[in-house]
Amino acid sequence: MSKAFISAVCMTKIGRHFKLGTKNLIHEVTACMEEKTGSRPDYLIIASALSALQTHQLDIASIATQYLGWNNTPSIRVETGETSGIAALELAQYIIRSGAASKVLVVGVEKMTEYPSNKVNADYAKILDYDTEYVRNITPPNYAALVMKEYMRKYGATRDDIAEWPVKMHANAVNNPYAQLRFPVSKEAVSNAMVISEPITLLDAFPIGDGAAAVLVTNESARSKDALEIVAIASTTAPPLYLREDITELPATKAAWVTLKRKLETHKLSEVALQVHDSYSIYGILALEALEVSERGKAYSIIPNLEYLNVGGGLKARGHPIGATGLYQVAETYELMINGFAGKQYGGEYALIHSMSGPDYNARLALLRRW
Amino acid sequence: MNFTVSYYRREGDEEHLPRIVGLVKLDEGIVVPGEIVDIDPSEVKEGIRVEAVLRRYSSDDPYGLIYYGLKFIPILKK
Repeated sequence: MSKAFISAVCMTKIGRHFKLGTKNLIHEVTACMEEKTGSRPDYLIIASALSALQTHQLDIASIATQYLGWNNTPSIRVETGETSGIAALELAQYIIRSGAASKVLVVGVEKMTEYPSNKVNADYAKILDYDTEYVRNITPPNYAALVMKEYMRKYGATRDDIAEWPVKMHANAVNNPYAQLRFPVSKEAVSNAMVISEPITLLDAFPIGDGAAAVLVTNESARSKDALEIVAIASTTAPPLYLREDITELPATKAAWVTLKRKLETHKLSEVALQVHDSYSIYGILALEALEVSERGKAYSIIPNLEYLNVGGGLKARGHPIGATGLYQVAETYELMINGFAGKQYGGEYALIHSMSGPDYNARLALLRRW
Repeated sequence: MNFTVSYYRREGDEEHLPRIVGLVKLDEGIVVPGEIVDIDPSEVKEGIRVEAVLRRYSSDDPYGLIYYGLKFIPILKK
């Protein structure tokens, strides 16, 4: 199988783009990509989790090609809840490795500000099992709250310990021009913020925003001079939260990491550029533990020391336009390793990106290497 | 066994906020997620005994479908 590379990236600022619809957001990043690369892709993948529910549009992939005027371009939409972006990247690399195309453009897009937040919250909650969880009025932040409570009880962590996460994420986002929340927060502000599902407050949770990000995946002959190799993408699923022995563990993330870690050779993850999924503060902490960056029950204490952790501010502060998020993670990592990003430049060889949906119902890990 | 008091606004089920959502361990040993009702959030404690009752989950008026299912209420007397 041939190798797959990330050859170029584009992002829009995440926020409330009242004047831009889904197609406009897609066009922003595809126009940027055409300007950067001077050519069009031979395959288009759209990652969008909520497009059918929030904008009433099925088959957004075909509609996007029509809007862009890209006649005769094959296209497909990928949806795997919150990991849709990395799932689309996973599919793109397989298309490249199979030889079916040489340039696959992956666009993540989410339009989340068409409706009041109670409608967005309801649609977002459908990433859980509709019949057994959604209809019982159980939502993703409820589960994150149960997990956070159990973690604090089991390991003796305090509310302020968990607040290390949003403090770090907001500090990072200040330097990210594409981030939605570019302001610092204190631990005190986190614990005093409005309660969503106790002990989770507004400042433990991701904001609602529109966004689009694009990543061009190519084979070796179409590779740009500044490229990252996609070494491997590992993905898997896990049982529902209520059937787990230990709810303070991320089982899909852990299993994906076991299959991927031998490819990292001797590198330590604490020295690797890392992007983890932190829809809620506690999940960022649990991801560090599932990836063995930290021992169980202690990850919150090493957060300030991790220089290349979620440099763009994570889901918490950069923002989380659901289906686009994984591609923001990839785009930020590319910029960090090639051009410098958010006031930092990473000179190392590897980067790892972690994405998961809900309380780890599916997890995807992408290992990238400087070429 | 474990619960959270939720203020999360979700279209169609905002009339009873805040809600108490918990993981309930059945006597058979199985854990199920569910809502705990008929108790004030300030009175609910980890480990309280509850029993299952049939209650309304939500209704999608104006279409007329009403969803019913199990919720949990505290057992006051043994």
